[in-house]
Amino acid sequence: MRYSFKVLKDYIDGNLNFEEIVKYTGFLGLNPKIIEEKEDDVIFEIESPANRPDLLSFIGFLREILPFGEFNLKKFEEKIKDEIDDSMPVVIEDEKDCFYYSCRIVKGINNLISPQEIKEKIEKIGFRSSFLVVDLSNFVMYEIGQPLHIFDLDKIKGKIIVRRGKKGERLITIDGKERDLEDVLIIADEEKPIAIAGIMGGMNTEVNFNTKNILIESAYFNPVVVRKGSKKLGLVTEASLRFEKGLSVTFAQEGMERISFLIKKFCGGKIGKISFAGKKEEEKRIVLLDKEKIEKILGITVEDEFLEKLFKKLGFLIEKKNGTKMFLAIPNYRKDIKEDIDVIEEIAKYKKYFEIPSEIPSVCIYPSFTSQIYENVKKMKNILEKLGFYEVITLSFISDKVVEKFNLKAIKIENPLTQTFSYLRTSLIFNILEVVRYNIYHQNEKLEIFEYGKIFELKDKEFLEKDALLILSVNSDDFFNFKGKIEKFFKQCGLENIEYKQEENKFAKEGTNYGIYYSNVKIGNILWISDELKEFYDIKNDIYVCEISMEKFVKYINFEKKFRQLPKFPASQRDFSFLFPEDINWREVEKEINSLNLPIEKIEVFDIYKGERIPEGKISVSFSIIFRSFQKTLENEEIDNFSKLIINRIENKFSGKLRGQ
Amino acid sequence: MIENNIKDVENLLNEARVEIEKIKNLKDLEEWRIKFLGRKSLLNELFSKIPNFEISDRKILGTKLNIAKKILNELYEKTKEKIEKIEKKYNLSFPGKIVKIGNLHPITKVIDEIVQIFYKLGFGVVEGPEIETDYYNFTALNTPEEHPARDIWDTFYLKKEEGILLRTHTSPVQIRVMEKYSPPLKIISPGKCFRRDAFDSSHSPVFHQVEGLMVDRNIKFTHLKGVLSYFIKEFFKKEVKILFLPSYFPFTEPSAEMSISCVICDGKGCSTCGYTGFLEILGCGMVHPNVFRIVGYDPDVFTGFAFGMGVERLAMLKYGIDDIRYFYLNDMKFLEQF
Repeated sequence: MRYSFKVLKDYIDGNLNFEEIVKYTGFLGLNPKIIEEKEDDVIFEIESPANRPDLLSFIGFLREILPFGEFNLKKFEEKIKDEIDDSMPVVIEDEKDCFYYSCRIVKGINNLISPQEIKEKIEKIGFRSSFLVVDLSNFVMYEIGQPLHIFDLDKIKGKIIVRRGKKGERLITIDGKERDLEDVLIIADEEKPIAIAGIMGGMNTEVNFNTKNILIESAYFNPVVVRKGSKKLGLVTEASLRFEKGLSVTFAQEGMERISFLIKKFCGGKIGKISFAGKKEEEKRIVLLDKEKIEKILGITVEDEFLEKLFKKLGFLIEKKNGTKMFLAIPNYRKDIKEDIDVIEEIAKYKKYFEIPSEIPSVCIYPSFTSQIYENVKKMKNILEKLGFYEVITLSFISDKVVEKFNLKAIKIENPLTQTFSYLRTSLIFNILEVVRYNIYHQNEKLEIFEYGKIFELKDKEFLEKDALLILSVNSDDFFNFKGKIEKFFKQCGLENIEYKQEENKFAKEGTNYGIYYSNVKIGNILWISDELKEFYDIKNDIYVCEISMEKFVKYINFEKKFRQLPKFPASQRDFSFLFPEDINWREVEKEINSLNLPIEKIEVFDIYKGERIPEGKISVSFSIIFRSFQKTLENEEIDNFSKLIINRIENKFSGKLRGQ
Repeated sequence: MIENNIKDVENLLNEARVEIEKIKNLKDLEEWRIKFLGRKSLLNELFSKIPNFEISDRKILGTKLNIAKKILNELYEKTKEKIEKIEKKYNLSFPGKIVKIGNLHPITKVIDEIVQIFYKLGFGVVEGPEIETDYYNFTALNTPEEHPARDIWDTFYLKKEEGILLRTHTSPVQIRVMEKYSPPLKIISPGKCFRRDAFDSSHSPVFHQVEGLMVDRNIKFTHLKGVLSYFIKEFFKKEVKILFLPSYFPFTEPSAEMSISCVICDGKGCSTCGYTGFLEILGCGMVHPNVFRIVGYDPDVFTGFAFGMGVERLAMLKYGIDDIRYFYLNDMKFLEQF
């Protein structure tokens, strides 16, 4: 809401300049923002907290800075007596919806046009001037915070009923829109709805040029009911913003007094009796404050004198004192003060947060638990970084197009920002391919990247989230370099003897997907991205990907290392070159060699060749074997024998042929 | 006759030795090689003459020539090696070969820096789910249904009817931790959050937060200030002015907003700080007694503080990044800078 410095001054005795306002609101964290600076006035706004409807008024605002300032608030002396006996009967159907509803008839209004003085004031604070009675009701809302409504009395039939809207009931509100009233709290007369409670009035009872007699409404609606209605109708008004934060009967009564006075003064007419339904008085709220608690929460001691002065300015009445305990009666305009902690916050505010000292807590040492997962993921990321990969982080959303195209069981967001962000990702692959495309377009062609994050899945109507890791390479290495890095990664994470099984995968180029297994449990896939997926993302290059399901993988991660005795005897190397059928599974060959139980330290493939000079359907594989014994130096003869054994075994088992023979 | 030829070879060797001494670069060395070892060299000429001699002489001359050739070759190789060594040793002005290393995302780096600082104070890390329920995201945080403060967090719903949503902050982790463990507690919780904000230079529908919570007997507002002031100084690695001002969050009371003197302009006022010289950095406060009641802690015995900070905002300030979208574009030219 907008505040006018000049208007504010009407309500105070004493001195208050604008610099002080800026300073005090600054202390209170209300972040004042100047909207307009004029010769004799400044218009400004503040950031009002969601639990402080009282601040949305001139009086409430001044009350808030009162403890800092050297001024007092003026009292509204005016009380108006009723002049005629007319009154409107009121019925509240459910007092849980509306705690208090009052209204008052004014007959024979003789001025509907706002004088310049009122017009100026109302426009300054951001309203468009309307009929005088409406301007005055808006002004009172800004003055004291109570939203009011003015009906054209002659259009109301019988009595006022506060009730929920029925199915099919509709009302055109004063903004010209037709609203569906079902289940929304409304004001009705005996025949029809005439307003949406706490939100907006209806056109059918709106004040117009012919209005002679009016009905003033001042009520206290249930804040939750108003908020629900406002959400349901998608209609937020100055009134609803105040009601939904929780006003009080006192606000409603003060509002009625003030508007009656102003209408009498500016519009004339005869003032009727106030009629009401609901509770006329609210329970007195007493908060027990133990001064020791102030120290316990804030860490500072506060002098009695400060407290007494502060409570007086805030209107908190000290009813009783008992040792360190104080019983405070809280005024009805401070609905946010419910228990001692709320009072302590007030004390901190006016002690000024920044003047309260800072200290590091001294507590007993106790070990705090830390998520092993966080630490393991960090180490994992560091290994990938060492292997030359860049980490990327993408938004977790995918578009409806991706979901349709690849027929994904994705979780839909009910209120997405845009269609491109309308589902939760089921795999990291989609967004990371966006990253690939973006970078290739921006001339960063060589990419070795990974992402770690949550993926989401809809399974039997359940919403599942899982951690996943995806590693990708494009235009960097050949596939076996990439695979080598992946194997190194597994090894560094403590997973040795990884197995691969060729499997189907709809995102892989045909025949290129291998399931990755560790102790017979599948932990991921290594694959070449399918042409379909590449085409969808408009990428031409070969893309190698390794995806890991963290759920399984984390169980096996082991960064604990164990020392292995260093060798005391020299190693000998023999190189072999074989022709194999081209669909040979290399892991099987290795296993077979190892099953001979020879003193082998390492088997290393150094060349794979297919093409010229190699017969159709065959593949040439060159590898070296490093022999080393822990007991002795191996003789040449022994190694020759080992080699023969190996050659025989391979030739028999895999129809491999030693090349050059 | 053969003596003359042998003498020629001796002379040739001497000449070659003298000349090669003067050679300082590979180009001159190549000329030397052509002259003494090339096809048209004297040595080659002599080789071709061998058949003209008597058999006994042929052997002598042949041996001599072969030795000379070997010497010359050795001379050549040695000198070449020497020159190459010198050239390599003394001209290091050329750039080294480009080495590629990987890098972590700046968000990961900033999160870990935050974590490391809090480790020093004995805090542990706990993580929570990104799909949350209305209960953990709001209700248990003293923000029941239809609480007007819910407007602060524009929420993505997966199933509104059942209250299933994407968490709008990391605060639900507070509740999950307190439900599971008894005090004392010192935890931080980094993670992804979601708000239905437009994607522009300062907003992103996906962003990261680090939540903090400390609960014990005798935890006070002064401690909250002390811990966060320590954190900020460690994080920005320079003296910054810190300002605590009142704020409002339903789950803390007193609630505060911590601002620091603008790290971009050192508090002089610039577009980043809106010419105020200060930047709002994080929200914090003393845990509201209602939150303790909800998780079954006795608010008369235990007190605590909580805070939540935006990782992207801290990263932007630390590195001077002016657009939040860079974090999610993942341009290599961006990622390699940190």
